[in-house]
Amino acid sequence: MKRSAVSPPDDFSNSPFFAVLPVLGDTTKLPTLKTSLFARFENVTTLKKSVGPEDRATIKKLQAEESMLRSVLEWLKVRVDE
Amino acid sequence: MNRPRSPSELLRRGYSDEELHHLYALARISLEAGEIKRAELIAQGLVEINPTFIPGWLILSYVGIWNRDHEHAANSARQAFRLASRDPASMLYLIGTSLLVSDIQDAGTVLGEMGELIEAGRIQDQDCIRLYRMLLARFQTRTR
Repeated sequence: MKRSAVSPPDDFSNSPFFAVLPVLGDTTKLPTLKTSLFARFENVTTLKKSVGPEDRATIKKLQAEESMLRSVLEWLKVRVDE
Repeated sequence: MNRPRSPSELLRRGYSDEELHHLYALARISLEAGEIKRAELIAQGLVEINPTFIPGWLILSYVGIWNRDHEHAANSARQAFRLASRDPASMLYLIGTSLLVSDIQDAGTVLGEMGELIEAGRIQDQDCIRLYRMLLARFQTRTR
């Protein structure tokens, strides 16, 4: 079947490396996790304050998790106070 | 009275696979929407929580390619490949990023392995096969 000249390009044409990324999960499920994600965010933020500066590995892990959760909560339009 | 748990013990509670997948889905659509920073932050969080979460490493590799930070892209692709050396996406990212950092030997080795899997019918995803052919052509141009 001949493609219409006005049909959008497929994922592969736009970005081959994007097209081969695994398709997993469902973003429509994230709003149902809002409460637990916010609780995790608060937990991680509190934990970060209790870790000594010498424990760099734990700080790095907590920082990454905190930044991830902050990004997700902002996408969910949940206000995250500093 | 309960012994207070250390931060590392509390972190080991972890996320369910389902939660990781939904978070990854947001990272993936963020890439599609051009929200590269959000994708990067989510993927970095995912691999810190679970260093064996291969799709997270692939997203980080993609971000590296996008940002033209080819060493970072290649390092992330190597992490994914170490975890799953027969996964087509991991193989393709390793091949592509190896070419970007001029690691022709690694690129050639994995191209050969992938070619065998395709010939044996063990890889059938058409997008993977198309990208394989593109990278093979690129490799052949570089080694002429």
